[in-house]
This record gives sequence, C-alpha cells and structure tokens, in this order.
Amino acid sequence: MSGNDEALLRSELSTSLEENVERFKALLHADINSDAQFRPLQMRGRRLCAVYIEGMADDKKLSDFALRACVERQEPEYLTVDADTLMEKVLEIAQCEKAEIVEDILDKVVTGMSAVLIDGCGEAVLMETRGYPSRPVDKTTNESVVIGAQEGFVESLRTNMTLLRRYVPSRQLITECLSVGREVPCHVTLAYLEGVADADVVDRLRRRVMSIDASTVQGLGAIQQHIEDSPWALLPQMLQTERPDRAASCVMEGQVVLLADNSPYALAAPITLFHQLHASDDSFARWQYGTFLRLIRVMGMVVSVFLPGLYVALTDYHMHLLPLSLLGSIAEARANVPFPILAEILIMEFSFYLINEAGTRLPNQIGSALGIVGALILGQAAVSASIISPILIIIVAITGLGNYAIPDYGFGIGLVIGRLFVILCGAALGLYGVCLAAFALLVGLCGMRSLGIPYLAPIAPKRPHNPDILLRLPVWLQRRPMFFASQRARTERKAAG
Amino acid sequence: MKLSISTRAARAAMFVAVTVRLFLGLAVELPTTHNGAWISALIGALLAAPWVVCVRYGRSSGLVLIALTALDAASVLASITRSTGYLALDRALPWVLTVPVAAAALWSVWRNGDAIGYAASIGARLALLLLVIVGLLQARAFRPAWLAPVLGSGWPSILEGGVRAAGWIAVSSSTLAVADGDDSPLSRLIPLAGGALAAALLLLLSGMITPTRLGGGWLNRLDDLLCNGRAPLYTQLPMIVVWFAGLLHLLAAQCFACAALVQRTANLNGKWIGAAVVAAILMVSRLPALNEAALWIARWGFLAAAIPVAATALLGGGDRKCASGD
Repeated sequence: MSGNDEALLRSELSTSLEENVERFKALLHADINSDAQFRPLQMRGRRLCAVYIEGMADDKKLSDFALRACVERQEPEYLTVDADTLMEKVLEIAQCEKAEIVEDILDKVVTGMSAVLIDGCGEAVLMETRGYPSRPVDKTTNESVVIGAQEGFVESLRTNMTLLRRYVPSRQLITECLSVGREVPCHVTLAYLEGVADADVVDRLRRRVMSIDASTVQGLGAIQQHIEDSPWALLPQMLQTERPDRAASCVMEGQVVLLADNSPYALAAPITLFHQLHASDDSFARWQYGTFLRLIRVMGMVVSVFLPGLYVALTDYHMHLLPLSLLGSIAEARANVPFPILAEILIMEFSFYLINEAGTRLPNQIGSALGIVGALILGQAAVSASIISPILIIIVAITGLGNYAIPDYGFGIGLVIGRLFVILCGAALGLYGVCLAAFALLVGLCGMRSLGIPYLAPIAPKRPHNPDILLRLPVWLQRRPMFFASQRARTERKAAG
Repeated sequence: MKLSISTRAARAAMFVAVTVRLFLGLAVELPTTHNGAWISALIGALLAAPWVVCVRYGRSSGLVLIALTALDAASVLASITRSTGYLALDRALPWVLTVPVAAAALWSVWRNGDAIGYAASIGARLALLLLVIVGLLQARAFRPAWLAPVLGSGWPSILEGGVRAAGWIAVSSSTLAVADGDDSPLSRLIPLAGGALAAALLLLLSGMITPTRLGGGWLNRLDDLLCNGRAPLYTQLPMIVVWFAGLLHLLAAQCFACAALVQRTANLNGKWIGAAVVAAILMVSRLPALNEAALWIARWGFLAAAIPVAATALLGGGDRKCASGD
C-alpha cells in the first residue's frame, strides 16, 4: 500500500460529497473492481451516495429499507439531512452506526455493510446490510453422533454465534469480537461465560490472539497454530469441534471458545488429553455407556500407538516372549515374505494412509471403489504375492480401527506420527526401544500445557475435578465444574451441590 | 530456561526414584542382605528421614549432592545399558545402547521438572497395574516359603544394607533440594515412607518369585528376577516394561536434580547445563572405574551427603538455615 493510500485511510471524511466519493473510489479501485458500487441519490435536494460491494451487501435490504426510504421522505421534518436524522428518522434498518474515519468505514463496507455518504456532512451512516450467500445450517460431516443434536457450525461467524447463543441462553455469555491480520483482517469471536471462565485464562487467550503478527490469517486453523502453548508438540492443545452443542458444553464448563469467519468449526481451550477422547454422544448417552465408550477410545489410542511397534520389537528381537503357538503362526505366515518386518510394516502403514488420504479427497460416488481397491489389491493380492504376511494385515487393521475411534482428526494424525516413532524405536532397539519411546512420549505429554493448564491434568497433576474426565460417573455426581473454571464458580457450585 | 520443579512433582519423582533405586540396589546390585533386604530398605528410610526433612539447596551441600547424584546417575545409566544385554541386544555397541537413553534423559530434563514428576506419578500407576497383571499371571509360581529365614544373612549384613539404602535414598531424593516453594516435614516424609514401603513389598515379591542368589553375575540375578522358570516366558513382558520404565524415571529424576543443582550454583541457561550434565553422566557411565565409584557411593554415600547438612545443623541455628548447608 502506498503512503498516499495510508494517509487517505487514516483521514476523516470531508464535508464535500465529491471528494469523499473520489477517495472511496480510489481506495476500492472502483475503476477495476466492478463490484464496488456507488449509488447516488437525493433527499430533499441534498445529495447522498450509498457505497457498497455488490454481492456482499443484500441489494433488496438496501433498496427497500434504505434507498427507497431516503428518496420517499420529503416531508418538512426531514429538512435537516445529516447522519443523525438518517439514523433516527429515515433508515428502516435495525443496525446503523455513525463513522467518520475512512478506514473504519471501508473495513465495514468490504465485509458487506453499506455506507451512506452525505453532502455537507463529515459523517457517514453505516448500515447492517450483509447478505452474502452462505451455506445453511446443516448436519455435521465429521463429528457425527448416534444420538444427540445433529446441526453443525457453518462458515458464517454470525450464524455460528447465534447457534452458540441458542445453546447457551444466558446473560453471562460474552461474545467478544476481535480482528487479526494486518492486511486482510479475519474476524474472531471469543465466547465465554462471565464468572465461570477463569479471568486469567480469558485474558491470556485474548492477549495471544491480539498479539498475532501476520499479514493474513486464514481461519481458525492458522490462529490455532499462532496461539498454542507448544507449537512443536505432536498433539493439538485446543479442541476443534464443528458441533454447537459441544462448543456450548465447553463454554458451560468454563472453557473459552473461539469462532472465526469462514471457519465452520470452533476451537475450545484450555483442554486436556482426556477432552480429545470425548465425543458428544457421551453426554447424551447414559453414564454407563459413556464410560464404556471412553474406555474403548483409550484402548484404541494405546493400541494405535504401541501395537505395531510392539509387534516389530517382539518378532524381531524377543521371539521367546511370544507364546509358542503364536510364534509358530507368525513364522509360518512370514516364511515367504522377502522383506524385513520393518519394511513390511512401513509399506503397509504407507499403503493404509495412502488409501485413507485418497478416500478423503475422492468424491463420495467413487469412494466405495477405493474401498474395493484397498481391500482387494492391498489385502488379498499383497498376501498372495507374499509381499505382506496376513498377520501384519490384522495388526495394521486393528491399529487403524484404534485410530479411527479417536474423535478428533488432528489428534488422530498426531498419534499416527507417534506410532511411526515407536515403530522405528522398536525396530532399532526392540522392547528397550519401545520403552524408551513410551517414556519420551509420556514426558513430552506431561510437559505440555493448554493455555497454561497441564495437558494431563487432573490425573497428573492431580486436581479435584468433575467426574467426567476419563470415566463418566452419573450426572447427579457431576456438580463440580472443571478444575480450570474460575474459583468463584467452583465455590458456588460446590456449595449448591 | 530455568530448571524448576514444583514440590508436588518433586515428591512424585522422589517416590518413584526411591522405590526403584532401593530395589535395584538391594535386589540386583548388592544382594548380600539376602532375605532381609526388605528390612534393610525400611532401616535405610529411617536413617535417611532426618536428611530428607532437612535437605535444601546450599552451596556446600549442593556441590556434594551434584557429585553424588551424577555418579549414581552414571551408575544407573550403566545398569540400563547392562540390562539391555538381557534383551537380545548384547551384541550391539555400548554407545548404541547408551546414547538413546541419554537422549531420553536430556529430553526429559529439557521438558523440565514438572514433566518428570508428573510422568513419574503416571508411571507409578501404570507399573502398579502391570505388577498386578504379573501377580495374576504368576500367582501359582509364588513361593512364600522362600522368604524364610526372615533375617537372611543376619543382622550385620541387614544393617550394612540399611546404611547403603540410606545413601541411595539420599541421592534419589535430591529433587527435593531443588523444589520450588516450601513444604512441611510430613509431606517430605510421605514419599520417602511410600517409596521405602513399595521397595520393601517389591523385594518381598521378588523373594517369593526367585530365591536370592548371592553368587553369579549381575545379569544372572536380573535373569532370575525376570524369568523364574516356573511361569510362561511371556509373563516376563510386563516385568521388563516395569524394569526399564522404572530405571528411566530414576535416571531422568537424577539427571534433572543434578542439572538443577548445577544451575543454582553456576546460574547458566538450563538447556546448556542439561546437555552438559547428561553428556558428563554419559561419559562417566562408560568409565571402567565407575563400578568402584558406585560401590563407594553405596558404602559412604549417606555419610557424604549427610555431613554438610549435619555440620551446618550443629553450627547454625534453625532447620531451614542449617539445612541449606551454607
């Protein structure tokens, strides 16, 4: 941006309509941008000009409730045409505000609001006319549940905020709007329950969001990477959810939820490792089922990380630790396989994730064909050709199932990377290597924090908590809020319980 | 980077370190106490109790603790490397076995004290679970009769084992000397008592699995411990995991304590100190003279650790001041 443009942006509106219109035309590059619209009109002989972006602003709303209202009001009481009169007596649009700095007006106009410039007046009226096309609220695609609410977040920040408010109809719910990105601003909303969320945590998150120093920030994914405690860690330290009911549950537990424009999901923090193993079904199902499903997910996680590494270590180094019958089957199955176990397992892992990735990118119509290719070619044919032993296919399949039991996508990928590390350590040093890898992963997890809260709390360090972390006890016992909620909320709920 | 550890994490790290060090020392390194090893562990805890209550960082006690902890950490590192011989890795180059452990120890020092303490607390719970599995798998293989005679080789060797146990406890609880904040004597004694009791129980369990063998090499004793010949071989798997995980937690706690003590003395960046300390421990672990040093620590370690603390306790007034050793 040239220095001239910078100066123009920071200037106040002049009282000359022509001058103001020329400024906006220059700043919006109206000679090239065909969607930048300047609509002149008159009200009692005073010239006005509506500035808006075609497509971003709702034409119908603008013409019916703003332009027509201006043109039709010719009575004597509208003798004075200024920003206040327009807002109070003429415009029939719910949300209007005055502005006089060019940059403020322009920032709003590019998001879909419309500005009315008035000749002889150094103020403009900004009208809420945003009406760009957006996806309607629909079923969630990645976090499907058997029972429970079905709707998911969409790309529109306003719709998402409304969805969240619908689930948390409380006057304590604060939705704080921030903007990040120097050149292309991204609108972000911090949502939390006043008095329940810890003020220090809210403040920490706000400071981190505000301190993002980037020219552009593309949605919550980029924001998450900017503000996480340990950006080098394998596992995410914020919870991603596309479900408003889950985001609402986080808010009610004392967490802070981040929403952003063009991001059809929410981020919640602080979280612990155990939050990544929760699913929305848990809250809707009876406590026995919820607990059982969580234990299954924990087992899935452990199997996913350690099973292939243990298989490599045991079959390569410690055959004597396997029961004799199992050892016999493994030896028989591997008799014709020309590759070492490490190569075999890496080939299989690579193929598995190749199918997985291809399946994610493929259109739904041909997705089933990929399943056939995967099952037939990589399974049956590879075994027939003695490239892979059948037992390894079982190992990789169980591992993959364990990974798919994890509700969080990013967390699942982190586990896959951890698994590769364990496999390599197991191949290099056997059980000793697996122990080393497990120790390194455990210490890494224990050193992680999410917005200052230890990642493995309330297990290590031990904290008094709601019995809804690892196991899910009956709802009538879940009176205590989470350990990261504010002290006031904890005291109040404990007293009430 | 400041190397720090909260009192809560320090207590967890100490509990695991004391348990593992006593078991390693009394069951494998110096089995002369025979069946009375568990009594030696408890006597050691009684002897070391005043030291554990008093110890805090001070320049003189700090230097002694640095030397003792580094030497013992090197001895633990050597034990880990030696154990791997049991795991079909006896033909690997020693450096190939030692460097990854040192790297894991360095990683844990860099993740700081809380990570080490919290990992130890989780490790202890997982170990308990695995030991229960071992107990169930080997229930028929336990021989309570092998615990007799209770006094084993007799009182002199039990008392000698007690003094040695006190030395091991002193070096294993050095994390307390660098813990942030202050805690009550009782809260310091709880992990000591817990660690000593856990070690005593483990010694009793191992005594029921295999009769103590005074002769034979280090690896033979480890082999006896992990594989008793009466239970299926695959029941060794959880025992091996517990063995290595325990030693790794002990090593990490000792390396951290050593690095934190050095940082309080030299006031340098924790990352560099951690790397230097782990490198030094790695080098010492490869020295042929380490065995003698380990024996010396076992015999005189408690006195060496206690003298600076006791001397200042007698000369200065007040627990806290004297315990700093300044």
